[in-house]
Amino acid sequence: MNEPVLRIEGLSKSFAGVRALDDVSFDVRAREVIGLIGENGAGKSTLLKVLAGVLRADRGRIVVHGLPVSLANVAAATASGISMVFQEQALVPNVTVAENILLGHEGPAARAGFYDWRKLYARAATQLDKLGARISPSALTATLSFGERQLVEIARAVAMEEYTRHEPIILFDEPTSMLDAKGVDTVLGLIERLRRRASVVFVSHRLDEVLRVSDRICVMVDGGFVATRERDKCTIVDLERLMLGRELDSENEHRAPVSKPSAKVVLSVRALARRNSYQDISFELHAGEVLGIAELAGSGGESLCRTLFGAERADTGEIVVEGQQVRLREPADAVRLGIGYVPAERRLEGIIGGLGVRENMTLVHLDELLQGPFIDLAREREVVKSWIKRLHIKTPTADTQAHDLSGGNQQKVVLAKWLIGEKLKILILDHPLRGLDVSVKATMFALIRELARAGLGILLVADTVEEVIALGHSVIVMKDGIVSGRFSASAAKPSRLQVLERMV
Amino acid sequence: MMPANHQGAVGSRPAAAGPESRWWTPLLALIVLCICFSLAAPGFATVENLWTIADRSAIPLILAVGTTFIILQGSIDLSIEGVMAAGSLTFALCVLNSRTGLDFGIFGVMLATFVGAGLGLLSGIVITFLRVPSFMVTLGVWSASTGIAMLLSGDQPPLIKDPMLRALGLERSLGVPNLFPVALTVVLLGFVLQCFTRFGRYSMVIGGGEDVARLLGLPVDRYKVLAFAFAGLLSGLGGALESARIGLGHVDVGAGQMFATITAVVIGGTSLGGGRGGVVQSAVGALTLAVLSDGMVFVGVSPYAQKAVQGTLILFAALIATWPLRGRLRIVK
Amino acid sequence: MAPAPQIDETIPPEDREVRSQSGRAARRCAPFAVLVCLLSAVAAIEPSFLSPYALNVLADESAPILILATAQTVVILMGGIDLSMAAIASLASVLIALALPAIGSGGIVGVLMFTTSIGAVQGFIHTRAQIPSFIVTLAGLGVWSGLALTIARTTMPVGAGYSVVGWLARSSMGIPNSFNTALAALIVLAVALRLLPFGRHVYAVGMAERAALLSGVRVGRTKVLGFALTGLFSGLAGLAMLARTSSGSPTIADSLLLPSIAAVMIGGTAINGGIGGLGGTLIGTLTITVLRVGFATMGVDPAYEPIAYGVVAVAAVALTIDRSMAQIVK
Repeated sequence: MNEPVLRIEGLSKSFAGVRALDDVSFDVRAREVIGLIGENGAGKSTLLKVLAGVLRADRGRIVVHGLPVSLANVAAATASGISMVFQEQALVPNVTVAENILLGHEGPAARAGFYDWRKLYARAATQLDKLGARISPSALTATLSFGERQLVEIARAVAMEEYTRHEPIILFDEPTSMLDAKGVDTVLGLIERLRRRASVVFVSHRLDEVLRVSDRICVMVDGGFVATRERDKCTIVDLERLMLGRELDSENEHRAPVSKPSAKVVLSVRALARRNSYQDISFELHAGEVLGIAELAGSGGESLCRTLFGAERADTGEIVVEGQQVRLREPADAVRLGIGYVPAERRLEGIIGGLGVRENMTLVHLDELLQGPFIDLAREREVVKSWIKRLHIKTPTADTQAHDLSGGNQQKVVLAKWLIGEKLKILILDHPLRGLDVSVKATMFALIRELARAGLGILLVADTVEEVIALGHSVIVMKDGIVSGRFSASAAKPSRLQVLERMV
Repeated sequence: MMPANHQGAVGSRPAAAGPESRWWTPLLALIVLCICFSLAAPGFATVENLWTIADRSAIPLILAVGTTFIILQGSIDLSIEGVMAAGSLTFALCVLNSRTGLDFGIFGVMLATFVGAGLGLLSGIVITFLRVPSFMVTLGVWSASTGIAMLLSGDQPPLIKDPMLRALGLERSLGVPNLFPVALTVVLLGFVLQCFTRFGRYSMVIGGGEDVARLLGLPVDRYKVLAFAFAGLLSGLGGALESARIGLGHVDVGAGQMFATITAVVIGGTSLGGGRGGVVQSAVGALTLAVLSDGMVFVGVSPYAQKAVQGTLILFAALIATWPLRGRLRIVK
Repeated sequence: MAPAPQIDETIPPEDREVRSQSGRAARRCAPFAVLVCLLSAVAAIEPSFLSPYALNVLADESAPILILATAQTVVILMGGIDLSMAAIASLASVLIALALPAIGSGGIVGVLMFTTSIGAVQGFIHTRAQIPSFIVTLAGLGVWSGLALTIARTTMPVGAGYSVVGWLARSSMGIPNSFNTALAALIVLAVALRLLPFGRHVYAVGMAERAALLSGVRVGRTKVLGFALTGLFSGLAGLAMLARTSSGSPTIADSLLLPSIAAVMIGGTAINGGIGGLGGTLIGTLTITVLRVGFATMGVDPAYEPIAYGVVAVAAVALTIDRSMAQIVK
């Protein structure tokens, strides 16, 4: 059974100039389980989405069961036999389990548009039995636990084999990241069972689990495949090494931060907790310090940043800014206290695409550019001009719409937006270097260091381990919502491996 | 384990224990309301009054069924009154009347429903193909349909002379107002559609997860258009039947119904956000409103205040439905 | 939910830019072009339409719609809508008719303060309870209309005290004062939108509310202010109608809701917010009024008026809606 059921050749995909997939080629054989691993932004999710029909590749060929296919949408992918179980579930909560499993493919259970509920439930039960799942087909999907809903989604993927000729190819995007130990066992057991009738490709950051179930493990770095290993021929440490990939610009990595943080604590967080996001977070941020947070997506870093900015509410715990305990009801409160926030989703949350560079930059601190109640347009123009120069923002005019700029320049506008304020004390950066090319990254590196030297307290949630180590005076590692490791400023810098093993 | 808190991800919150799990609340409210009015005003709790309420609720019940499917999908229909007017005039001019020589009898009712369905179809197509929000399109169709009705009405609203049809609208059989069984039939039809057909089930899917439905390639637009056509059909029917009752075709035949219907649907437990509720719930809501307006007359409240009461009810129902969903980053326009 | 691409990723970024640029240009010029065409068409059929008298009537007719549309523009720019404006205007006319003989011009101020606060309350409920503005103002439409009907069953003529507002019904230098006032109000608001931080916030909230929130904009406050404005302007519209008819009535402004919304759309303001402005609203209002008055002048059956409104309003929205933003349309 060695004829590949799925072959990918030269697949490439770019988003706004950034290469998410770079000439990827690989095979999936029949009844094989492939584990796909890599750091954030390595391209794993993008690859799955292209295979599932959610995204379309720019270039490349996909051959399923010997036939080249064009996966224009999810329905086309399903028709070719490829089905995906999404990380953020694609279920309709207000209908029954059976309807979700057979959605769009009710077949004889809905003849001439009329539902035969008994048949529908029976067909759904069959799929659930394949998985050994004890869920009632007539239950309302919203009443199920997260793990149960995952099983329903897997059942939907498996149901595909009833109406396609070949054995299905099932894709999983982080199937275990939100489950407890029992749930993990269930899902991994399921994948073992599925091997008897399907091929599986699954993405996970839990290397031990990947090693447990996969026949082969493929490692992706920066949009490309770097290695494939057979299950028995590698260890977790090998995989970790492969994941870290090629060396980043060593200058940045090895150069220690130029300045030392002061002793003054600008931000102190005690036992902060938010249900389903993070638990028991405590740390201190000093003026002039860069505190790096290393985590894999979904470990609570983004939520923590939002909470510290007043955009989400913590259930318990304290936030203390410059010695005063604060209650943040909305982001505007945080801004008034001197906190700034650069969100990870730059295009949607960082800039306002339809507004010009000038208006974006001055949006936060308009109150500092007033003459009486009115905006001092002349002063605004001056200030904007000076910041464009200071940060080397490449824009045709100061009024060019923000969505017409390149990613790096957009990010500079976002930074300028906060830096313009006189009273900025704390800057929260959530994946600030995501999607930027190497030279822009270098500029940003320097900028962040300079800001620290100027006395700003910076909280940085980084994309990669290198960033965190290079920029951070101290490092906190978050995994699944709790602090799993701390490296303080006074101790020696951690190695990449030391950080990575606490992330996974 | 700590699942990530992505905005709107199904997994990050347990199923909201909201009105969904308390489907009987509107029914309870209805019963309590009846009891209160019976105690407050003599004459309310009589068989005669019961049939009056039944008669009063007939047209609203029919309208509520049609609107339910649209609201289940998460859209809205503001064109009810205009489509009723167009249906009313079509009907009045096609049966034995004072203006034209036509005498189609019961087929006049069918023609009115066709006209209504056509207008609904138009709404649905513009919404799905031009991607204009439903409230805007149906607002425009309301206006245009009223204009059409005005054209048909001319200077002289046609008086209906067909005795059988007038009996349908006015009289009673065995004590029960004729229109009531008609309304109940429509409710039953709506219930069957909702629970046993793809149209009904997919409407629920569209309301609760249109993005998932589109992702999986379901023909969402088709069912949206169907829902609007169906609602238009029932609005046309409602206009015709109301005309049969009052004896003439008139542009204002549906006055106040848009507001009343939305109120009925909402207080019955069908959420304006879509995906929750159903035909039976809306029927309970319509009955509740009929009881309310009837009872208010007994108690001495001005009929003009009814609109204000309905508005307050809509607000409270929306409040109850959306309160548990609030979040700092949740964007509501 | 399963992640769906936010921006249409099948269109390469360069093409997207070009498309949006030409779209923007069209949006700016189209309303004016439509108005000119319409005016020419009507004038061609009925040349007396361009006489000073007819233009005067045009201006006078457009005043209440202009007042309503002006404030509605602000709310629509933020991405919401206010369906209760006409009802509040009618209520205002009734209250002023009652207050004028008794209290005089102080009564007007009181009524305007009242309408402003009920607008603010609607905005507050919308932001605090996170109920869509469409539902809150729909409910408001019922409540204020019902209130007006309860207070005054029918038209209430203003007896003594009319002189306070009589000037609104007259003209200065040939232009009706009602129009002058409405135009002045529009200009003031336009300047405010341009030069006050509030204006920037309105556009930011409409274009990208979450990004605005995360930039420290007090979104809640901005929205409440927007709805307070609609409350105020609704009161002003009621005042204008009272001055014209010398009476207040609980239904006096009901027929103006759709035309005023249509006027905003026709002027190029997108229904999902962020794009457009008061200049367009002025043009849109004139267009709507030309339709209205033009029909009467041309002797067209008044039944065609609501049909034309319906068609034009929907067409305007269809043309001006920002398609790159709205993925799912309900």
